Amino acid sequence: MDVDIEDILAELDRDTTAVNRSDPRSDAATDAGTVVNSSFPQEQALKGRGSGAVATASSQEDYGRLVAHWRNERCAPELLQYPHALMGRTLARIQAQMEHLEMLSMDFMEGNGSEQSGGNGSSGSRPVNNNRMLPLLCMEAELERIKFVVRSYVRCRLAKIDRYSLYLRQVGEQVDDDGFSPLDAQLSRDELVYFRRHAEITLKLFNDTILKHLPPDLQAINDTEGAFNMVDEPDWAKFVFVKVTGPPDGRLDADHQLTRGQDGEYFYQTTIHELDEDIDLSIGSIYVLRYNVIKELLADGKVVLV
Amino acid sequence: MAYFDLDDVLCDGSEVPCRFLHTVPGLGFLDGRPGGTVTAGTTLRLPLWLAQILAVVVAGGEGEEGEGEGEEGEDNTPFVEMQVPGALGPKVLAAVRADPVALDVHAVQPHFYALALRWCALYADQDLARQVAGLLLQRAQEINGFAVAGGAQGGNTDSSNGASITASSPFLATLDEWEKGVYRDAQRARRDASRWGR
Amino acid sequence: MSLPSHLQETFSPEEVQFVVENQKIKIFPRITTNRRRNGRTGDASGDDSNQWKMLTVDGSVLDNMVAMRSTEVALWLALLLKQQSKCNIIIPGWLTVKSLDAMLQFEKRNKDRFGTLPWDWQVLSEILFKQAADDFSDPIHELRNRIQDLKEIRQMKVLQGLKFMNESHLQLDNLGLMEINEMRPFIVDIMDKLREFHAAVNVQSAVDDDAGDEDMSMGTGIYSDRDISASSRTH
Repeated sequence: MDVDIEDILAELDRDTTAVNRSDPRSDAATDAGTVVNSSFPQEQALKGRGSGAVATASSQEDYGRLVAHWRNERCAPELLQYPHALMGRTLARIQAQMEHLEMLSMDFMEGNGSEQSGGNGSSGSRPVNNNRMLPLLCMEAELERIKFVVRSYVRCRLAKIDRYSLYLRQVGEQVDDDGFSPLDAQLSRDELVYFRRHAEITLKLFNDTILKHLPPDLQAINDTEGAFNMVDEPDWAKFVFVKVTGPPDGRLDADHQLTRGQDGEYFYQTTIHELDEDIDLSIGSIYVLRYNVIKELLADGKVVLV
Repeated sequence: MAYFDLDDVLCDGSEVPCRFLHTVPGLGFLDGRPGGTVTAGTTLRLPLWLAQILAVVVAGGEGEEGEGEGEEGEDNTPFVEMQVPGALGPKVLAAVRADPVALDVHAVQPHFYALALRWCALYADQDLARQVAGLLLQRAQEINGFAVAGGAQGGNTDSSNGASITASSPFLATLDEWEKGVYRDAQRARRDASRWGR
Repeated sequence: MSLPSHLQETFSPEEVQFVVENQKIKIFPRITTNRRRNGRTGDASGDDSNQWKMLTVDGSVLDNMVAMRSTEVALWLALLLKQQSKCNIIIPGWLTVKSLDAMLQFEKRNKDRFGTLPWDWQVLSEILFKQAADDFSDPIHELRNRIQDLKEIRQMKVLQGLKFMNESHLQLDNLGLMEINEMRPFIVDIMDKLREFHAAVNVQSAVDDDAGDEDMSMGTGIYSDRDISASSRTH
């Protein structure tokens, strides 16, 4: 992924101020929450997600959050919010690590050269040499893994942007007083650029090949009046698999949305509006539900998509 | 239903019988008689996309879009009255009740479920919805069974090779277009998991 | 397309494996990286090419390994070290003949629910069989047989449970991630269609809405003409 270091640094600068106020654009701010040992990896990531400043943005936790975002994004029918701060930090770390590894491997090549000619005797024997390569090997493997997640995540989002481009245009038209539209929070800057260009090119194609040959009142590509809605919206009621993890900080008593049952177990009460049906979601259980039923719980980190 | 969904568009082309409630000149071409008049009471088979509009738009100038002419003093009824297409008719439904799995849905209507869905939406036909949903669920079990078997063998169902679906079993040849999609999805998931495990 | 359509709402098995590989597992290192133990405290502090500067895992754990003292690292890392002959993997307790037999007993006795295997049981067992075969104390073929049996018996339960798909919801506690992923496209396709039929006729609450087993039941859609008895729960 082509990343301009200036952009990343600029993003980072913006992030440090974002940490101190509840900026809707910064990704899930976290408590210094307790990390309860839980089975699903993203539970660890989303624990500690509440209101407040990012207390610990350790690279491990960030990776956990990144994987959680990736999994949620794949499974969700709509385009989720872009985690600006998280991605900024992650991309910066990746860049830094790439440079570090390059440096290391150059050292190795030079080091090997001098040893073979009987140079430094401090690490003469071969097994130690092998050991010296080991961290490098691991770091490279790890780098590939994190790059995979980032790429896959971006691909997933781009696919959704392509699919729902007309709908996003509609959303983007709701500009508030400061000139910001919801899209600014939902998409990254690069994604916005991609989205606009893609939409423009596609629209031009439609126009030139078909639309301009149609009668004037049939030329719209986003006609929402009439029998059919031309704009494809995400299917909010699509079924998704969710696992109920409970409040990210693990404090069951403090969570007002939780109800306690007769057997002492905790559950969330939800309603399927289309069916006028109430469902209790117990902690630790796996359900197949409509996305709109759990959308808010998902945003709060109380359930995860699996 | 997505605007650009191909199956939906194809389904729109299926024909339903329509009884004309008015006499309309100039529509003879629908019946193969260009320039002729269609008299009230005639039943013609019209494609769903057309029938739908004509069944809703009221003839007689009540300030509607005035797309056609009705005779003066005509009561406010639509141009046509749609009748239940054969695919959703009593014979088919009886077969559905008798043996859902044996029914050759594809032969009845390649876009059976899409058509049924449209019809239910138009007429809020609960009974039909109930029956078709039941049909769907029972056939789903069979489809999954085949998908599991097909996937475990590492069968190939790339969409470029759609013909292989029908070749392998008589049941699979009876699937309507939507069911085929379900089979493909299930089989692919099974096949990928099976390949991974090796 | 940026992402192939069949991957747009589910994962490939390889991706499921990737997720599982992020989990931690216990190992016995065969090398010592802890400098004090190594007697290398006198080393020039400038030589940090040996330092494990990691992004996704805790580098200090790796920097402090002592041979044959157990420690915990991410699975992918453990596999890498194993491949380089730098560690032995400690097989988790549930992956023994005894434990799997107990689990099989449970599965057989309880037809309407799934046993509490770890969510990554299928992936983990397969990976360890292939890459850490020598770390098992029980014979691998015995373990494989039991894993296969577990897979089959649970699959049967899933098949039974499919009869209860509806337009409302399903509850599938204790299903493993690979199992979920395999069933996902099919289940979502069918339930989405049922939902569409329900929405098309737009009924608010059905005449014969039998609440049955309250909260945990499998949804009481008007299309479920089965008796919602206890056996319908795959709990």
